[in-house]
Amino acid sequence: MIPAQKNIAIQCTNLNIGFVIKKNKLVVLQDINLELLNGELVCLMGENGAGKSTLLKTLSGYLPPLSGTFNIGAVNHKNPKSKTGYGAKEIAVVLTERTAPLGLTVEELVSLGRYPYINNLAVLKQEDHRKIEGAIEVVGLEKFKKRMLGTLSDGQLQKAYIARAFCQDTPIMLLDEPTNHLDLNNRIEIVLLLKKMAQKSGKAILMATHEVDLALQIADKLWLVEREGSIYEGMPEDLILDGLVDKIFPLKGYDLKTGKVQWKVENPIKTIKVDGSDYRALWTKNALERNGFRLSNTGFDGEVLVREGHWEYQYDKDQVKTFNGVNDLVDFLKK
Amino acid sequence: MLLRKSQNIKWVFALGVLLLISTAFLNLILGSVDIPGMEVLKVLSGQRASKSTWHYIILDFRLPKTITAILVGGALALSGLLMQSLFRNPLAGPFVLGISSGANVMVALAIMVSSVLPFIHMDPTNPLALSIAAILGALGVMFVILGVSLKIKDNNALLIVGIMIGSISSAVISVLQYFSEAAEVKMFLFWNFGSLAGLSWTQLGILAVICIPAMVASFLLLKPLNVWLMGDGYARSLGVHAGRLKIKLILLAGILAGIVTGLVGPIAFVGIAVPHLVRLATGTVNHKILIPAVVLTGALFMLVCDTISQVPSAALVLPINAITSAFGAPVVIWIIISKGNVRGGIFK
Repeated sequence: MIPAQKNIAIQCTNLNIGFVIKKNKLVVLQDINLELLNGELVCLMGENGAGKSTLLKTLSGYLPPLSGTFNIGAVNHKNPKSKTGYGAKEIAVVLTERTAPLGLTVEELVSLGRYPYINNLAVLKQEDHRKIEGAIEVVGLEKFKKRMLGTLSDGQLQKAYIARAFCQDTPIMLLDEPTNHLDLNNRIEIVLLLKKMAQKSGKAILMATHEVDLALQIADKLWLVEREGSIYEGMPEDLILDGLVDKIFPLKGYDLKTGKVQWKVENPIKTIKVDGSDYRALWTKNALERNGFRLSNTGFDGEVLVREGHWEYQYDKDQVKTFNGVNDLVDFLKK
Repeated sequence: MLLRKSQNIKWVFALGVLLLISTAFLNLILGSVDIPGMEVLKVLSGQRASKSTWHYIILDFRLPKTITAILVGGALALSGLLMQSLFRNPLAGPFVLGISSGANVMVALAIMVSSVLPFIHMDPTNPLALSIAAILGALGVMFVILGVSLKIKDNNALLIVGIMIGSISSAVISVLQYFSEAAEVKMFLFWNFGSLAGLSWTQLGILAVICIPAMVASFLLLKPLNVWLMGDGYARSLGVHAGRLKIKLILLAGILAGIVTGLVGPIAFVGIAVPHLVRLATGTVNHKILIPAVVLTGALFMLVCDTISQVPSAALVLPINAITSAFGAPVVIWIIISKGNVRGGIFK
């Protein structure tokens, strides 16, 4: 459950991040003042090259900040030493690199998450075994735990990597585009899985992603990265209504307020009225728009009635034609 | 990481040690003069053999050679494993960074420079002088590579530097050979063949004192080595510092390969072939199993090669390097050919 009290996992204060190339500072993002709370799933979004990865690298201690500070838990990291890393017990990561040998089993990969807790001879204790089992169970890979990574699908592989990070038992998880290259089902599954992890284990989870639709619906908060600027933070709904999402993602042909792709219908074949409000009407409208029909409730050439199991088209006063599928309807209308 | 079928693994290790002991025993029995097993046991238990020559042969010749083979095989195979893991490259080996090239150049200088530059005189007939020259060369190159590795972060670039050092060494050796006399060139060739024989107990002591701690130190690196296979970013997030691990691995692999090359010459292929054999046989990339298994298999491989090279019951001794290559090269070729259809391979 979400802790009642506001627990700050990461707090950034006047943080400027970027690179130092030959003693020249290259600022990527500046004036970052953000809090990442325990139990929250936050989506870090922005165009390619806006600085998402730079932020993740800074927070995970890979890059020193140019100026400003960030606190991880109670520890202040004014200048986190990028050498030793403070993080193995504080921050777990899921990266885009996939270098792990495909000859490892799922169980072995996940057990690497216990390394910060075990001795130099890598002897796993009872508790470690329990945590490994638990992590595999959370992502639902119990049946695959003895399988080699090379035999897994992309979605399963990603879950194995997430289980490894979960098993590291850190209050914070950072993920870099964990839904890349996955199909829709797996994308939804992964994001829901992360949401569940945040809720149940109270972890603070920050994921960089391009999944506008999923992030808007599932994330507790968005961090919107503005190129050469800073980061806007807020609930997805607030950010949409403030027009900030539109500002960061100048989406072409996609109406964020309705959540639909907008077809620019030039020279419509016909103007059609569609009667009905359920999802079947929605998909009928979608098909008509895609095929070059204009939808309107006034001045229409004909009216489509979405019935239970079939479609009726009324035109020229009393003419009615019945169809069994959207395809037939569209074909008829095109004639 | 978990041990796969941990019960079986223990038995396999027990079997391996048993095999090593029996091969070592066989190695003591066989040779230009076959000595009965009972006599070998007598000498080993501190009694006198029935013939004093047997006693002398076992104690001063065969036993040092057997122990040398075990240490050299284990050290070279381990050194190869460390380099393969560091570079995540199946074709890396103990000499990939030019360690043996350094030794070669120094030995070539020690043997041939007196005819090129007559005012410098060394005594190339003294094997100790050659050993010292080779160790200096090997460690010299190792420190150069270490220095370069502090400058460049890209490990593949480091591999190329290693190959370049090899090229420079070949060039230097070619020039030296061009100006040298036939006898010297032949002497250099003989050094290049490698030889496990002729190490005194003192030299053997030096070999053991350096190799065994290096092996233990490598085993203590098993955690970072396993994490390292996941890639730099993950290794870093689990608290493994890439630069430090690199330095430790170059030092360990370099010292192992350097001391061995100095004392027995550049012995090829054990270092490349054995880690592959072990990974294919055990089906794991977990260094907790790999490190002891590679040391054991390397020692066994070297003992078998040595037993073959001394051609049982004949006075003929084949160069050890020819034997290891004759066994090792086909293995490497086999891996390259089979790599195409090994799914879920050792390295990605």
